[in-house]
Amino acid sequence: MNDYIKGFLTGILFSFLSIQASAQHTLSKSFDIRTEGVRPKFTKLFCDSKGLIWTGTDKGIFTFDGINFSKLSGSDSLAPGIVTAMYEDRSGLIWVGFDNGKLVKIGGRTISSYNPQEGFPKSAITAFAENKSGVLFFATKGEGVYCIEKGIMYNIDHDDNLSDDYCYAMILLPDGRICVGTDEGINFIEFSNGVKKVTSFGNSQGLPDDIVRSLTMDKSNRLWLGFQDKGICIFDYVNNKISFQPEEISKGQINSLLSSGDILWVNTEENGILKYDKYGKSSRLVSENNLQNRAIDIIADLENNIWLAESIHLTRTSGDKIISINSIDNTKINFIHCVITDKKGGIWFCPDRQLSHMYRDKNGEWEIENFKIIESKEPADIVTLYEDIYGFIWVGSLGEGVYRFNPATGKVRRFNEKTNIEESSILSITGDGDEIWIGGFNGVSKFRIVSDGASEKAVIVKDTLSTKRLTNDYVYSVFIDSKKRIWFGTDEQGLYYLKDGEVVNLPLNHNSVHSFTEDIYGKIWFSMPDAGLGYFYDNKINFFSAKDGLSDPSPVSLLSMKNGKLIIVHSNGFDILDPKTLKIIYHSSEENLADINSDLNSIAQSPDSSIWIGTEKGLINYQPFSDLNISEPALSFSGVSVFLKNIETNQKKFSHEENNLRFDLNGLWYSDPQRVNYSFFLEGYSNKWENTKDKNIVFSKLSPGNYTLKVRSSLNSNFNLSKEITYTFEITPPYWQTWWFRGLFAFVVALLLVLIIRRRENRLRKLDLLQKEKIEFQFETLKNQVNPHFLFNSFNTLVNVIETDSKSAVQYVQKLSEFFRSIVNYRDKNLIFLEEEISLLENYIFIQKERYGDNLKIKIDLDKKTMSTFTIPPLTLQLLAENALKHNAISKETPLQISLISENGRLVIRNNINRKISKERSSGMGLQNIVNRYRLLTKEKVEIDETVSTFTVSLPMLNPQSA
Amino acid sequence: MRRIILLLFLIHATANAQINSLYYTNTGKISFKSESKQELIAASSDEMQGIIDEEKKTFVFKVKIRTFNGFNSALQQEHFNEKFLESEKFPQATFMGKIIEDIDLKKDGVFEIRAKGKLWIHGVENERIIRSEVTIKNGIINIQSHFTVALSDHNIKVPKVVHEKVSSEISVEISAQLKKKTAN
Repeated sequence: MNDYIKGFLTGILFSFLSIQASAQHTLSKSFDIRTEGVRPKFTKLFCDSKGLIWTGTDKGIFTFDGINFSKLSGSDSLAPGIVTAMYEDRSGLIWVGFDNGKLVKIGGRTISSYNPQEGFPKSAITAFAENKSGVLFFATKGEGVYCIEKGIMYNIDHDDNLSDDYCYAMILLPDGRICVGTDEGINFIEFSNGVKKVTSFGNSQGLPDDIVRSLTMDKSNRLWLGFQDKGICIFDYVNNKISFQPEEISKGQINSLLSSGDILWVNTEENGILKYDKYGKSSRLVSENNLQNRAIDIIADLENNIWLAESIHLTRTSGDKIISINSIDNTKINFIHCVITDKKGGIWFCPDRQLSHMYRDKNGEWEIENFKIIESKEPADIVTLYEDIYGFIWVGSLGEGVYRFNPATGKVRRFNEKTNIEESSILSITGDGDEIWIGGFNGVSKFRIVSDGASEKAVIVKDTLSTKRLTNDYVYSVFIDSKKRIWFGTDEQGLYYLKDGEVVNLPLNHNSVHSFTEDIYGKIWFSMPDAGLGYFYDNKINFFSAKDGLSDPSPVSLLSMKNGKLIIVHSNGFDILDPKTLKIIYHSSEENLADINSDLNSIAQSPDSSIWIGTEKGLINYQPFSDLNISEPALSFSGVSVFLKNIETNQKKFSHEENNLRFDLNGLWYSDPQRVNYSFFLEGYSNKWENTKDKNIVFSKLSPGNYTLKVRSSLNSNFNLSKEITYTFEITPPYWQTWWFRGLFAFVVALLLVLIIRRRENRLRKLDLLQKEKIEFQFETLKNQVNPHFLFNSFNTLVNVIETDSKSAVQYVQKLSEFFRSIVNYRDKNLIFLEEEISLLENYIFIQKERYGDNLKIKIDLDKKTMSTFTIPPLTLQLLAENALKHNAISKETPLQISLISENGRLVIRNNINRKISKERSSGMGLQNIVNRYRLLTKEKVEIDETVSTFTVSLPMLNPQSA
Repeated sequence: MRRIILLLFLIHATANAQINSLYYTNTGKISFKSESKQELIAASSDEMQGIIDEEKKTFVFKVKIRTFNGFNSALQQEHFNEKFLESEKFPQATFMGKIIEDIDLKKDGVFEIRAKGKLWIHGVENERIIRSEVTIKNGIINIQSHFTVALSDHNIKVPKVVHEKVSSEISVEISAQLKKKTAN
């Protein structure tokens, strides 16, 4: 009971104190899921290694890309309950635990069912962790800790020395142990190969509170504990003791802890979300409506925005990166035209014409004191401040001159040294040591503190400027660089710089120059209204404008920050430029930055590196080291579809019909999602990069080939420095287009052609040969027939026949005439019927018989059918008979017997041999010619057989051909 | 050593004055199946013993390896005993532990529970969480469970010759009815 009252009172006291402090708020924007009817409540947040934000709700799991929520497929069918834990394991799988003990695994965008043999816990999953050997642990509210090693689930609970089965939080320590926060202190678990080792540390050993609800590691590897009742502390896990307990946060219930950069965010139950910084100061996270933010869960994204799960709202805040201060001590601070910081870290600014000094008191709370500077009743805004080496603040006004203020005494002295500065309007005061430069509507003047600089009665004299080339025009700003050059920004005359007494003018096309800064590389940057930025280096000037990514052509203030980057303030926000890589990120209206007025150079950097910007409604405090790590959207392929149907993103080969591909891109930049641009280039299809703001790229009717899709993303149109992601794939050609097929096809065609040509050639050649043989044979026959010998003999015989038998003579002449007629008739034919040849032969024999009488005998023994069916080249038999007559002696003693028979399906001519002693002249061609002719007509060979006594020629029977 | 612990547990359990909280059986059925490409081997035993202490939620189950029968051949049973499980050296297989869920076993109903315990086979002990469906009616606890045992987890070696015939993961089924121990 007492404790509750204590807690309540503490709460009231704390909030009372906070009202006294400055009303500062973070810049926030809320997003709801509006596609589900009743808006889902966010219960758990998670940012994966690629920068994507996952949200667990009471209606399923959604991912958020900065603009839209996407429900995970499978979410509905599962409906296992409320998400209570989320984690990404080593292999990139996302694990989600629910309040009913169920678990799911998510690979890519699909929920894969996880069905362990051992079943699920029956109590809520509260946290996940993974040790160095890849064993996955999950903690439950009531069943201790489970772990999965090599596919087997183990349980570590009270029976295994876990101090309590009710576990809230879990984290991997650098020494490899898993630390678990439970209802009975913290436990340390070592697990390998099924062997468990559990040690614990609780109230009895010195822990302020047994119930440890939250654990986190900060970037210095310190372990923070959040208690049920006793705030937070740092636990030294090496020496097993509490090493630090911050007094501000030593009471109350801690819901969760988040370490981001140098800040520890403490999500408390009673006091909202506290920001605990490296100086040990805590302040509350408050949004614009001045209501405290309360969250079920809190995470940081890769850009260091802090996200809160606030019931049905997912709220993005700028965390401590950008804080806006609108009032201090319940007074609004408005119209701040200038800001400077002093050496002690105090901030001087001029709201509403007074000089205000904001500083942290000994408790770390912001305090403010105000001083009236301008005595006159005339209206005059204070536009410029400068702290000299004596710690005095110089105040320049529009119309009421210059004042020198002593912060130690609060006394102010109007600068009335004999100058024409008294009533003029001052635009800029700066200095170096004892030199003070003042620029304004009357040009620029240089002063020197001669003596007593540390007192109000300092003697200050005007120095004559060594050259008259300095114009008497408006000088918007005076700047002294590290090389002691003095730079002047003028109205429409460009800029001047003074070095070693020499004045150089760079007219810059009659642009005005409003502000200067020098970056860490020695480049002098300047801003020109309507013309962007320029920088001077190595005696050369370069420009930097909208096409290079500058978001506004009229920058208002420039400052080079301690982290090496430039901050460029304009009326809608500010850009952060890296002068080395020329990469820019933006903070503007998307983050609710607006109404930054057009006062020049209302910006200062305090010793702790934070930036202060004066605006119409107050001050903006910016932490540059929060923006260090990321400078372009986090880019990945979120999906690949073929003809609008989603496929696995590791499929790399597509068939020729799958030639309509859509690639879904995800470029994450949560601070300003609308600025994300993409640029892509499909190698193998086009030869240049194309820019788009669309999140998907479609290619239709891709022809077969190898392709690589390259994509880059940027916050402006400059992609030169962006990282590239690629997707290499192949569209396989249909088989009829492949090289091997084409080659084979061509080969086969060529082969066929060759074969066809060869066959034709063969045929032609054969015909040709046949023709040749025929001609030769004809020629031979003709030669032989016109053989004078034959005629001579024939006529001799004729004479004898006429003398002996005139009737036979007529017959003889008739036969002779028939014979010659046959030769003429058959001469051109390739083949004649056997009966025709035989009749020719008989004629020939008759003629010869008249000469030789009975000494020449011929026997023809063929049946009529054979003779009328088969064919033979003309004059073949005649020639063979003639050969027989030529080579053999024909006498009564040695008669010649020629027989013509059919033997084994062949035509056989046989004669007995009686070799003549003196042969008649013979070319020998006849028989060879016959062999050749037969070879051209048939495969069967002519067979010639000569024995001692007989000469046999065997001819194949030929069928009639259309030769 | 294991036997001694087992024995002590049983003695403790039985000697416990609160005999009312003990349920037991001597006739539990345990069967296993090895399905490989070349052969299906299955065997079972009806002589599994089990004791559950309903108050402490602890349990012990054990079975003598030699009581398994139903093999494809007598030779197979011989190999099972002599070569694979070496039942002379390790005559029993036991599972001993505690039920994770906090259920009241005296009330009728159907529950799914998980038993966290040590599974001891062939001389090797592994911690396992085994899911079972428990039906309680009229004071009888009916347990149905199935789980897989990897041979390598218990050092059960399969010679190369029969590699194709024996699956490296054996599926086991348990069916047991436990009754209250009567005070005789």
